[in-house]
Parts: sequence; C-alpha cells; structure tokens
Amino acid sequence: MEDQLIINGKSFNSRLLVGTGKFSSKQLVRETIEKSGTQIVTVALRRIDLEKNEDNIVSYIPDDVIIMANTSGARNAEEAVRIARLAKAGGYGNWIKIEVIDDSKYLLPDNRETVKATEILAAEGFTVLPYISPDFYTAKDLVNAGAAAVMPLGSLIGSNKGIKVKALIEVLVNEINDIPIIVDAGIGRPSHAAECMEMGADAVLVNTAIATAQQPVLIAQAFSEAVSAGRKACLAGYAKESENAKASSPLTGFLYD
Amino acid sequence: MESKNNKIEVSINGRKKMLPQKSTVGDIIKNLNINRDNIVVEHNKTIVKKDSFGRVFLNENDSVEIISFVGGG
Repeated sequence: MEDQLIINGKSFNSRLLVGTGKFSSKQLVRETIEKSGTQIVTVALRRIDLEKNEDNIVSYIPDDVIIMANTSGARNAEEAVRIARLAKAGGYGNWIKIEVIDDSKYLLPDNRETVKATEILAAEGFTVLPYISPDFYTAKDLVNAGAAAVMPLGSLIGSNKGIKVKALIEVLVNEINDIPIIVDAGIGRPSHAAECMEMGADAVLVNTAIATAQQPVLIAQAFSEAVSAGRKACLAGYAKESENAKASSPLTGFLYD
Repeated sequence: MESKNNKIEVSINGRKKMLPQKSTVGDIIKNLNINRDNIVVEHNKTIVKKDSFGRVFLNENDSVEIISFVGGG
C-alpha cells in the first residue's frame, strides 16, 4: 500500500505543498506546479487593480490541484473569517490556510487568533490548515477546534533559514497524532525539506525558496525529490547517532599479527 | 444623505467614485470590463452572489470590494 498523505480524508501522493507568491511570471507558476508534482497550492485574496485587467492566478493552476486560499492580510480572527468566506464564494473549494499576522517585522502568526478563526471556520465546514508558531498547547487546541492539519513554521516567512525550531516541531510530531504536521515557512533548501521529513513531519509547504530561485522549475523538482527522500528515511528508521566511532569493516582477520 | 447632480458617491476598493443613481453592482463590473468569473464581490461587507449582481442597487456612501485570487504563500 502506498504511503500517502491524508488530510481530512483525502489522499495525496505528494507531500510537497507549494505557495504561488513571488513568482516572476504566472506561466512559471504553472510549469513549477506541473514539474513539482504538488497537489495542493496556496493563493491569496486581494482587491483587484481597477486600472489593469489581469489574469486570475487560478487559470494557471491545473484543474486537479487543490487551491487553498490563505487569509494573508488578516490581523485577527474576524478578518481571517471574512477572507475565508470570500475565498469560498470564489468557487474553488473550501480549503483554507489560516494566516493571522499583526506584525510586519517578523510576520509571526498570532496563535490565539488562529485558534479562534479555526473554531469558527471548521464549524462552517471548511478544511482548515492553520499556520502557527510551533506551540504544543496551540496545536492541541487546534485539534479540538477541528483543524485538518497543523502548520508550524520552520523559521520566519521568506527568510530561507531552514528549521530554527526543531525541538518544538519534534514535540508536535511526537504528541499530535490525530492530524498531519506540515512545516510551513522558512524552508530555504531541499535539504531543509528533507530534514523536516526525516524528523517525522507529514509534509512541507515551500514558497519563497522555489519562487525566487534562479531556476524555480528545477529547484521545485529538487524539493520534490528531497521530500520523498526524507519521507523514506523516516519510514526506514534511520540509524542512530553515536558519540564514539563504530567500525564499518570487521575487527578481526587483520593482515598483521 | 443628499446626492449631487443625480450621482451617488460610492467607495470601490477603497476609492471614492461618483456613479449614476440607481447603479447596480452589475453596472460597476460591466463598466470596469472585469471578467466576473474571476472575482468575488462584497457590498457593504456582504458577499454578493454572481447571479445577483444586477439586482443589488447602490446607495450614497456604500462600499464595494472587488476581490480576486492572486499568487500567495
């Protein structure tokens, strides 16, 4: 039986989610999505530019890929709920990434407001994936609030610094078993993504590191391979670390007395 | 509220515009040449269903938000 990611009863082969922000062109978004194998992408909602008549990002997303709007711009639960309902009215489904941020320097999510928004939206039937600072109590509250997954940050959004809160994510991996853990934010290189998967995360979400790379399509493929490799390592039960050396070749039969 | 010269002042995406009286949400969308498939519309903080655009009449000081999906993380 294939090892699949299951979110709210729906199965996915890919454990790489991709954000569509910051790409230099919309056509590049399409190509990146196709070559990465991702099955879930995020989008944002904004006022349209009344002067320009631009293409909707959605027309560049393949039909079989889940479009998950984020509530970016929301500074509190009420604004997040409003954005989610607008997203649902757009007609592309009811998957929602809750992003409640009221600080422009660190872009850290407000965990408490995120839990409030999750409760309201889960009760309205949304598939809710909340973005949080990795906190054990918040994660437990989110499980109880009906979240479909928990998305702890690896490091600050767009920083590409990798996993700076490993110990806290490990707590979630060990203790939150009802819903998947998807590491989101700060993943800068495929090796960071592999690290997340090795430590037992169920998936990762990557945006900046793909969109702003010199070759987004190529690095998206690298991320896809890294996520698969990390997942296999986790399932294989990789070898433990040791303080002392342990020889790899036999310690008998040496060619001397 | 009084309107000026048979026009009403309506806020569209945060910008004040003068529109003819009896304008509807549908009129705004049509005049701005927007593809209605790609947008979500809010009138005074209430979501307007696409098939109702032509039936929602605007009044002085109303607020309309025309929103679409863009790239985001």
